[in-house]
Amino acid sequence: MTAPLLKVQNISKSFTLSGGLFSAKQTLRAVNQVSFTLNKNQTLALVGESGCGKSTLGKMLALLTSQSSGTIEIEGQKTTGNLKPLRQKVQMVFQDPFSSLNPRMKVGNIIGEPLLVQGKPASTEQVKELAQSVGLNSGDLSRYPHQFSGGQRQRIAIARALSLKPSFLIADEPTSALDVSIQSQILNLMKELQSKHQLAYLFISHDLAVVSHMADHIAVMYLGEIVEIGPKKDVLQKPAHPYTQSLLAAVPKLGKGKRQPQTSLIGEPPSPLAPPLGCAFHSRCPLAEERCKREAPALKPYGPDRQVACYLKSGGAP
Amino acid sequence: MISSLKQHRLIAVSGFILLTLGTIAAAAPLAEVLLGLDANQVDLFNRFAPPDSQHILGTDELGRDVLIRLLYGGQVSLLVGLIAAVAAALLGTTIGLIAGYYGGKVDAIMMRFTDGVISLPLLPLLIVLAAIDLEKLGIPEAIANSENVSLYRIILIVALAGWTTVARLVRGAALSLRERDFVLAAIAYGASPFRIMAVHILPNLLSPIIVATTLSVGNIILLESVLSFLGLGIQPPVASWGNMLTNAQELIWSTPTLAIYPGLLIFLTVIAFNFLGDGLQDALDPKKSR
Amino acid sequence: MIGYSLERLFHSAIVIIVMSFVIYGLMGLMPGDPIDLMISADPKLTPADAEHLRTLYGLDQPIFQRYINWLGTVFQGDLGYSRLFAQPVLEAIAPALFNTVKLLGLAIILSLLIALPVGIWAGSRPQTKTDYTINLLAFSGISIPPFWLALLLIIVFAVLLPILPASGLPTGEGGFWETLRHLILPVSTIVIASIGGHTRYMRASMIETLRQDYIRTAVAKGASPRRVVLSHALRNALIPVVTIIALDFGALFSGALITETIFSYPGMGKLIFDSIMGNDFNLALVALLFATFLTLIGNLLADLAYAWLDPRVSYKGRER
Ligand SMILES: Nc1ncnc2c1ncn2[C@@H]1O[C@H](COP(=O)(O)OP(=O)(O)OP(=O)(O)O)[C@@H](O)[C@H]1O
Ligand SMILES: [Mg+2]
Repeated sequence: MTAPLLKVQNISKSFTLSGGLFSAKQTLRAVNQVSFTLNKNQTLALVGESGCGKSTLGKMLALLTSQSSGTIEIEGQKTTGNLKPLRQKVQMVFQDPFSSLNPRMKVGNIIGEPLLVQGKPASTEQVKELAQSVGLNSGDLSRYPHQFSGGQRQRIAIARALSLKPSFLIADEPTSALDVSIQSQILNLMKELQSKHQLAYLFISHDLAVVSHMADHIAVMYLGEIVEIGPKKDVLQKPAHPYTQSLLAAVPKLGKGKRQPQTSLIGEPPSPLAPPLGCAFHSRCPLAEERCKREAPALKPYGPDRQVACYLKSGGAP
Repeated sequence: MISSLKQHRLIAVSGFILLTLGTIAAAAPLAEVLLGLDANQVDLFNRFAPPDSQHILGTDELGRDVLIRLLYGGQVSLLVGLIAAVAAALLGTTIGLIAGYYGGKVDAIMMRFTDGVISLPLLPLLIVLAAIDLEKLGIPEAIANSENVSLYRIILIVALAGWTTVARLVRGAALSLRERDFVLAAIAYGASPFRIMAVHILPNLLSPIIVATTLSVGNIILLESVLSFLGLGIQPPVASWGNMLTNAQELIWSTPTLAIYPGLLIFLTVIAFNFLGDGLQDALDPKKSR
Repeated sequence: MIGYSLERLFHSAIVIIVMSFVIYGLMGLMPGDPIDLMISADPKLTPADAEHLRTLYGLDQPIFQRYINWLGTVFQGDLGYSRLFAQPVLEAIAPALFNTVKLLGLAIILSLLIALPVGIWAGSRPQTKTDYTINLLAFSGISIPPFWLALLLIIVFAVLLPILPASGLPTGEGGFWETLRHLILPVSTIVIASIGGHTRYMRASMIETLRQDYIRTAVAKGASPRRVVLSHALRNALIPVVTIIALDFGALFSGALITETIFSYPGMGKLIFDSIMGNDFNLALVALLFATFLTLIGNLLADLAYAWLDPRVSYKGRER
């Protein structure tokens, strides 16, 4: 067995909301003790409510912000020291294609810049090939981003991300800013590129329909923690964690058969500035017991290739 | 619609005034030839002459032609103002860019510094700077007393006072730009901070820089003229609008007209730059163009 | 709030300490030095005497050491002796300070009395003819060179139609009305020079406030525009103006320097100018520090007032 492409162990991220020199500081726990692995040519989808730490996790993996604790290994390499060579292996595609392209640069330069920065300037031919591989034509290269639609811009962003031939791509809600009609084109392009380059994806999304189209595995996040992770089919069809069940219940088409009205989500998640004691989800969980309020359940195996952090599913029941 | 038309007219009119002033000032040597005059020609038999066909605006206390001196003074005042504004913009852009890009502590310290400078009573401090004995700084006497030094010195001094507007505007814009995803993308593929600032942030800051620079030219010209007026800027016999008013002040009881023209030209220049800056601000501000 | 105040106080203290050192250092770079002045006053002094005096006054020590020594004497209450005024420095400064406070105080009050209503008026009807006219006038005020303005006022009111004095203080004891008459031109100069800026701040703040959602809501609910301006917008629009105007203290002081110099008005500005030009280092140093100190206090108070008045400012992590 080869080592996984990406191995994440217990990473956390806290932000210090600084007061002034003489006033108190607050700590915001955005990501808490997350671990998982990802193999090449695989897609792990990351789902969860807004503010649960998906983008923060993505940024740590894209080496855009350093983790407060824990380790990340990419192809066996720890993310310490000089990151520049390592950056070629991990690239990111952002949500808003109107903010992710420098408005003052021509598309050709945008696509070619990563190679330039990494000290191997791209030839015009290389840039053209990249453009063609995402469905742009070579005439587009001398135009500016504002001359393109959202979908085309996202193609440019993908071409830029692929220019370094990364093995791992983080896509943070890559289609949520696009028209529905364009979304599937971009998703299909991403699938096509995945099988062509054996890419691993971390695919962040709100949209469970999109997730079921893209993912091999699904990780469900709540308040900075992964509460359930496993193969797509298992998680979508037999959700184990009460939170996952509530998420699916909110989507009629996907949660078919197993609709449980009492599990639909009520209220807001607690503030990451003051996370609750015990299980993070207990305040909204319809099945919460006394124990859930005191101790936080750890992520425990639940069937083959699957983990859940809930007393009722793993640790609790024999 | 109406307001944007008015803005464009404002830009056009003030731009036209400035171009005209600049052209006329640049044509000073030509005017000298045409009128058969010399800017520094002292003619004690013809002091305070009233306007006539040769001395269109009359002569001053040394019998020099007022118009020609105004034109040469304009060259100096405009040049000093523009060069100092550009120098101030460079300084302000550098400071604002670094503060805005790095944010956090770097930003806090640099902006405290900027706020500190803004809050100082600048004119007295600049007067001190202008009065400093350059030889005590170890600058050789020959250079310290040469004619052009007063020019460089005044440019440096007013630039030191004028960078804050640009710095604050650039910092604000850089602070929001660095949150944009294209900057994150550049970090993700390994671009250096210098490259990000130079290639990704700076080109997107051109309009605030242009606006701030234009707006500060007016202030800088005012400052230069005040210092020259107080005898600390451009030194005679080189004419500047400011130092022409120094002499005029002493003659205000006998020949008040000498005090009119230089001040009027400063006023016209400054107001044109201010209108130009204001117009550009509205025209380039994406929030306002609906 | 207390944390924020302490922090601001701390920053102001740093600025004043840094500035005292900078100004002290600059004074040492002024043309001529005290010993040269003594030599020129007393030709009998030999170069050896001069060296001796230098050591005596500690002028051979490094600048930082001299600065510390000077600080020491300052904290013992000795600010030095003014050469120009032949008085202890503090005694020369006190009346000048009083005169400047009088001049600037009058000017600020007058300027605000006119600028605020005019700014509110223009700001509550943006893009109209009235607004454009006011804006144009305000721009003219900002762009006019203050020293030229002073000369123009003298030309018109003292030379052409001699109805007002061209100097800022009556000779001898003038009495209240005479004093006031002498103040008219200097005060007008400062008022005209600052009124444009004040009007534009007020106008901009008013426009900004009227754009806020809660104001739009009030209008949508049927409140009359006049009521909206007076009862909702005014308070919120005034708050930022207070700060900006207070931040202008430094600029105002620069205006005072020019005005006082031209009108021979014995205030702090003229005193600073005269002391610098007349090589009176002791006086210049202390007067400059005083001016800096007062400006910073003004800024500090304005900032605190702003934080106190505006509920939206969180003094914990204030974004600027
Ligand atoms: N730079 C930062 N400084 C302080 N707090 C931050 C920062 N970035 C994110 N946070 C906080 O961390 C938490 C997680 O944010 P994150 O953007 O990762 O959520 P998300 O799951 O991506 O949400 P969304 O679905 O809305 O994109 C939020 O509470 C957010 O306010
Ligand atoms: Mg996000």
